[in-house]
Amino acid sequence: MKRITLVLLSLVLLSVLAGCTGGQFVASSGWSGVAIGSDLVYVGARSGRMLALNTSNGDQRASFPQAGQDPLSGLYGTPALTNGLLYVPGYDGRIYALDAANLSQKWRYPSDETKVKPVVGGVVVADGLVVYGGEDGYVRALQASNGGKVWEFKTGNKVWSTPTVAGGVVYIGSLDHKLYALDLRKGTSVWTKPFQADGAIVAMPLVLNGRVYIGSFDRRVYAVDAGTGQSVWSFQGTAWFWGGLVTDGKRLFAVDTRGVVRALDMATGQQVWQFDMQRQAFSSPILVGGNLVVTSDGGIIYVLTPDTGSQVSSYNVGDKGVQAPLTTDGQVVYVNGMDKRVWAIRMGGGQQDKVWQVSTEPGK
Amino acid sequence: MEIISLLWNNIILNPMENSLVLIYAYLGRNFGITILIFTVIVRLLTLPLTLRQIRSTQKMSEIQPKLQALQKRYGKDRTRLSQETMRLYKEAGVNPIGCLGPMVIQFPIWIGLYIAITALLPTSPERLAALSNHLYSWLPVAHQVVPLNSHFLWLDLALPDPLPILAVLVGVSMWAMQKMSTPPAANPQQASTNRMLLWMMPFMFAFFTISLPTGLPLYWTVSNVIGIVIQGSVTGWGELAFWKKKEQPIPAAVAAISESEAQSPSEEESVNEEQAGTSGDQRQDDRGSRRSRAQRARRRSRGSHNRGP
Repeated sequence: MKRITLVLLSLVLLSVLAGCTGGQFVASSGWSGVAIGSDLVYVGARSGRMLALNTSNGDQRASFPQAGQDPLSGLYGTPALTNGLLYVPGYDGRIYALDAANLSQKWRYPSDETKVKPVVGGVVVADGLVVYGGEDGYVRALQASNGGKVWEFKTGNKVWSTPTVAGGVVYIGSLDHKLYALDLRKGTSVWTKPFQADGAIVAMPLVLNGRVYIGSFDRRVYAVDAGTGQSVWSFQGTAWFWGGLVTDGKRLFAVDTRGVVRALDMATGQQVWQFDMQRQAFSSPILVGGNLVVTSDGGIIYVLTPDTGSQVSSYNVGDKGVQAPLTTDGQVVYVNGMDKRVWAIRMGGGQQDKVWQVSTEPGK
Repeated sequence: MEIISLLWNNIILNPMENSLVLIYAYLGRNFGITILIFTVIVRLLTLPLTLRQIRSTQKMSEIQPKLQALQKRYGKDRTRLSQETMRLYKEAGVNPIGCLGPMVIQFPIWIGLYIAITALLPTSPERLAALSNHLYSWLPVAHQVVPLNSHFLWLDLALPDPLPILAVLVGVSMWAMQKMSTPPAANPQQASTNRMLLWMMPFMFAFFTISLPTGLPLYWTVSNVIGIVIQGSVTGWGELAFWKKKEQPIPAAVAAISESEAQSPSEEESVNEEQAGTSGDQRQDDRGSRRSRAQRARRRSRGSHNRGP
């Protein structure tokens, strides 16, 4: 009897474990940032659709895929908007070029039904090329006009980072612990060897005044010479640096995954101040109206003074929090929340008012 | 609920995840090898319990005839039967739930290992992000090796096996374990149950292996192999020893007759002895040789059953 009981318990346990298993392309959620146009903003909803929302009131103008069609398996990377086209990186591994006015598809890459690895990072458009990295470890450049592949470069592991283009060079990190600098037109390495950190790199590099600034899972922020790939300084933190960095020209602002916001001297890497949000954070900070705006999965948006890190104000966007990067047009901050709502909050000029807030769930 | 989650994370999950990462970082940077080493460690830590379970099962099988006798005697008096049964267990030094121990301990290990594997080999960005909260901040190497390499032989340890190989390995190894550890049946009904369980558990585990990330079935396979070695070392290989010639079992009645003949000579033999005027020593020798034959018959009878745990 006892053995039969054990067998039945095992059966229940195995069923639970098997039921919890996800496959490689399980329907994921995503944390896409918002791309800002003139009268529309574009956000990847957690339901797997790219939405075009009216900037004045958040009304939905268009969606891709359209209602009635199957959604994408997830949208993690922030789309890029240029010359009337919206470039969307899909978790299904495809890059979609959509008409910015109505989100109708112009092209997609790959165009056939080849099974491809997901794309988690965002895309960047520069000099007629769409550049992105994929989980297959490749960094690729496509013709922005028709999606034709121009070049590809193989790294040692998945690429989740959004690339940065500066001075004709693509800077991008990989989970192989390296930061790469690639010629934008040819896709060949500019440095003698890539910069090697001690941990995975998923953050978007920041390039300014001949230096590349990047955070890593080894809990360090690095300043790297943009021309040679040599380390200039590094700062040792206490948790992973997942989100991107932002600067006011004097200080570098970084948020680690434990929710500690740090201001570092750009010249030396010395910490100037820190502010603890006491919740996990993956969202990149932004500067709005001279203030630093940060958020965490606690659902509070903090507005801090860049000089001292003192809290100016805060805004609650729901207890499910924010993992997507914050974006701003200089006056309004757009927030894609984990609770499937998108917020537009006016924060420029010392004000803090909700402009609108909409649900991205279908039918709501 | 939060307290349970906190206890689970701090006592089971976080130590398991960080241990796996530590093994990975210093021993090969291969997660398949990490699982092998982890399995060996777990088996070593649970060895005292396993040995106790094996011996308990062995004793249980030895007292089966006495248990049946009790059931026949007190079958209608459940209270008395229960009392006598417990007394018998106590006298024999048997723990009636001893066989459950290792299995019950394995359950949280399976659950923890499954969660740890999906956390350490994330298949989505959210899972990797969640991992940042579980790695100990005082273990710098843990942060440096993430994400872990999930490839081992033909397997991606984060995903189900595309081939049925691992499912077969799990099923076969589990069947062998079951075969060795199943005590002899006391009656036809129990024999039928044993036969069903012998095939049901391996089939069940093999079936679920098809849909689970291969890290967990790899653990099961290695754990089963180690279990087989332990069992074989303690109790012998039982019915798995296909290389040994099988002795035909002597029916109990025949064995009983042989034994009684060995203990008391037959009338005819007594008469013959008297007539022959055999000496006492010679009669003793004759009885001794009959006793030896009976003992050999009993040994052969026992050896045909799996006298393992």
